[in-house]
Amino acid sequence: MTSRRVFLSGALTVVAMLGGAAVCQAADDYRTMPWDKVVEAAKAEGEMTFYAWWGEEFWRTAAKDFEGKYGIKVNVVTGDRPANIGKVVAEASSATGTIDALLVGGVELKSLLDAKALYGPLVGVIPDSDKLDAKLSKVQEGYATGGYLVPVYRNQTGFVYDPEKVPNPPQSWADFTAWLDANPGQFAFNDPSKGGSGQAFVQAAIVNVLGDEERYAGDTELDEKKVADWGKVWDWFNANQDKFTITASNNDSLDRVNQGEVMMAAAWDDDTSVSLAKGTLFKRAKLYIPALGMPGGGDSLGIPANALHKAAAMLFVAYLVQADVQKQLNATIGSYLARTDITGENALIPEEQRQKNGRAWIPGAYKGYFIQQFVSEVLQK
Amino acid sequence: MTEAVMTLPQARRSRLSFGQFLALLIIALLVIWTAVPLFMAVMWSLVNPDDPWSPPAVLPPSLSLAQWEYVFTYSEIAKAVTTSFLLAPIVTLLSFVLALPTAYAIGRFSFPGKEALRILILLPVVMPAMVIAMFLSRVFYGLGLSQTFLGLVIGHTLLAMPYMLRILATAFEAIPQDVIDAARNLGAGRLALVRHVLVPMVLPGLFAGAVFTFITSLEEFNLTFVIGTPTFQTIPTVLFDYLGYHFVRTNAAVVSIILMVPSVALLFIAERFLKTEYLSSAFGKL
Amino acid sequence: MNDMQPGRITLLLLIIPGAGFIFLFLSAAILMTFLQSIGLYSLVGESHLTASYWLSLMDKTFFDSFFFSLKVGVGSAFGTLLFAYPLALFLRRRRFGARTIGSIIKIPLFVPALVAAFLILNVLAFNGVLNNVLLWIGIIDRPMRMLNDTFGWNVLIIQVWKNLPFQLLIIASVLETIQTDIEDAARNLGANPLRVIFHIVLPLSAPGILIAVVLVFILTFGDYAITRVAGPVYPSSLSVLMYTDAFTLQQWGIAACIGMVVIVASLAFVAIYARAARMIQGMGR
Repeated sequence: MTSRRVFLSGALTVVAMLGGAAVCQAADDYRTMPWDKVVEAAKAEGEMTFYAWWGEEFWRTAAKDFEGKYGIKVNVVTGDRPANIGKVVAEASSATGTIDALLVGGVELKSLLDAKALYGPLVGVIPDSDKLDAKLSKVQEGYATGGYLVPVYRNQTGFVYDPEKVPNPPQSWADFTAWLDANPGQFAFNDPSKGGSGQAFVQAAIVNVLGDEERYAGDTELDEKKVADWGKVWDWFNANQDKFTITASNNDSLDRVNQGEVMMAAAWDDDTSVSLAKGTLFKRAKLYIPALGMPGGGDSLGIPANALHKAAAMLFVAYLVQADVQKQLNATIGSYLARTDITGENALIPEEQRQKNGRAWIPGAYKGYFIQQFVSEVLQK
Repeated sequence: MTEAVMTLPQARRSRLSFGQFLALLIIALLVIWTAVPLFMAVMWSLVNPDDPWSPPAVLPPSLSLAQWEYVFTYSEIAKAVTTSFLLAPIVTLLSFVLALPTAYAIGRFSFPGKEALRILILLPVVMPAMVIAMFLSRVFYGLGLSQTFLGLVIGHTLLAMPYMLRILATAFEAIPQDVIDAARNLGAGRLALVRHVLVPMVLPGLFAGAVFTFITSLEEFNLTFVIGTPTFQTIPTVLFDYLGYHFVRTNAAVVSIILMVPSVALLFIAERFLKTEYLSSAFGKL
Repeated sequence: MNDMQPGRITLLLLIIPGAGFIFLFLSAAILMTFLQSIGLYSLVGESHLTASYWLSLMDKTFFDSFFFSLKVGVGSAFGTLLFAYPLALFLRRRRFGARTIGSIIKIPLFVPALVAAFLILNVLAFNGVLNNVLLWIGIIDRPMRMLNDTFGWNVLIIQVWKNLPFQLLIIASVLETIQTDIEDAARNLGANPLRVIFHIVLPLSAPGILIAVVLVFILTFGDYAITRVAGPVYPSSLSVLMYTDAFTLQQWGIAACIGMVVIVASLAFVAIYARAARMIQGMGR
């Protein structure tokens, strides 16, 4: 009697394990499942955790609406930007992680891709992901994303200024340097290691001082020959040091404009939009992209490979790229839509200006390099 | 002779009023020195989103609670307040339990190495917090305590317990031996001694120690930032976020006030118990 | 003082909870710092005993940060003293206003460092109250740029604001130990108040001053939060440099070296503090 029971329970266990493994196998591959099954699985999971570093007004609203629609609870965490990425990379080696989806952008995404920390590919699997910006869906910061990152919004840098003090904002690089000479100390940009708008300005300087914008395109590694003449750029910065005000963050630059300390600053379109809405920037402020060109790109969503609630995460990603939610994103935080088939109404910068003067980001390898170089060649001198 | 008698009271009168005048001047300056920064923070927290505060306005043109609404609706503050106010009492209790026997020993006995011990206890307070935080976090990472609540409790206790210990030790030290001798002579056993002599005499010190430990835990930043974030946020880490990469002056103002209120409130409530002796024993004496 | 002296075992058992806890975790942290600085126990990459981190430490960035931290430490300690000592003297035998002053002055003690930094930065902003008042009075005709200045004045002002009550309390308690009969005797012998202060009170309170200065120095030398928020873009303080090296540049070995430098410097000053505190005890009440 007992031995039969033991045998039976043993057999059952083996069957359960095999069956469980089979179920696990099938359950794991949300990437190949029909979408309605993914939705079912997501509802069964019931909850998930999402990490971002800014834009909490939108993520929290979207999370609430998402919960109302699907009954899945989303725990939104807005943390320190490098700490978020650091956490995913640190957890990458464990079997399970605590983050189910996160906002990804900037040079840091390379460490995520290298660590193979992401689940995917998601582009092509998530509904409507084909309607997202084609370039960003494939390559970001000069690195091929393999479809692991789903673009969620695009953004653009430019110069924000006080029209009462700057009646004719400069357009070309020559205009700009002339304006700088006439208004020393009235232009602000942040330390590039502390924010993207500062990085944008440094890139614009590199491209305009040296010319030959195209030389870096397509590189995934730093080519020493191509940066050999960068000394000229640092010399330019050092020669003009007292004409700039270097600030501590994206929003710090905006704050200086608001307080009247500077007349013009490098800024993100979405940050400017949020500041205007919040009352931390005077309403008359204007943003434009000068003809000298300022870069823009976008940020995306990723799902860690060891996420516990992958189906829910995928559903949330799908939700965030839906047309009406994208419009809501644009209305709340002012970012440009990642979708190319619809346009948002909240746009500080007219479309033709975006097309004409917006530039792509320099490949990540060079960006990382110039951030370091700026600190050692300009800040330390 | 009469002249000297006549001038003396006058001289004393004018010296008094000069001292009084100086005292009033100092009070005025101190009020400005302390209150104006606080007032400006309150103003920034009340900026109306439709009416930005920029020059030439010296004060916000109109006020609104929108910034407070924003922080409570969209930021991490609700979770942070919960975490902070969950940590602080636990840390205070743990600190008390750990500190009590040691404080008793230091307060009532003399033994070799006592001086070194007192310095050891002072170290967590004076050693640079970020160094301790970063490398303790590596230790915790190895022990699996990184990003855990227990790790935070241990870290906070390490930094807050010294206050409890030093203040309790001073309190124990202050109990006059003759009171204990008298009680013993009257036949009090150990338990009675503790209940009726030691505890009542140490209670004010215990209260002061608890206040300091509680506030230290609430305000602790470096360790929580390195070991706890992004999984755990406390009010100081939320404030740091709004002061650094994601700088938003109005949000920072709101969170600053949220962080300050319990601390300053505790200060005023405990004013009666916080004799100078307790405060200086926390730092000044060996 | 002396209850029945306990046995050594009892004494040890009493001491272990509190002191043992502190000793355990503090030494773990310090040991880890030391080990990582010589290349062992590295969590990033492999560990092997090496002096390379120490050798590559001494570059311009490090020295700039070191001297900046030194400047902040000394400046804060003595800057605070400049206000704290006269205030302590004034409050010494004062009855009128002493309680009010005492209550108000304690407030910054309970304001956390980050909040203090924010409060002062608001005041110093371009459109902040300080600029506006100076403009209104007419001392300046255009607002001054005071934020993120390269010297570090912001940091110094914040540290003075925050540490004033701290130093005041220490000095006040030391001044209390100085018996007033010495001063009264000097006065009776014809010395004017200023001479009494310089020749009697100051020397007698010297150990207390030393403690106040040393403690504020240690706290501000190794500070992270205030210099990160209010400090210049370059140079950073040592703790900020250490953090950046570790978390942004992933150079934990070098960060550990910087950590050791800060620890050793702090311990050295703690030793000075201990000496001074012993002197005060020796003077007795």
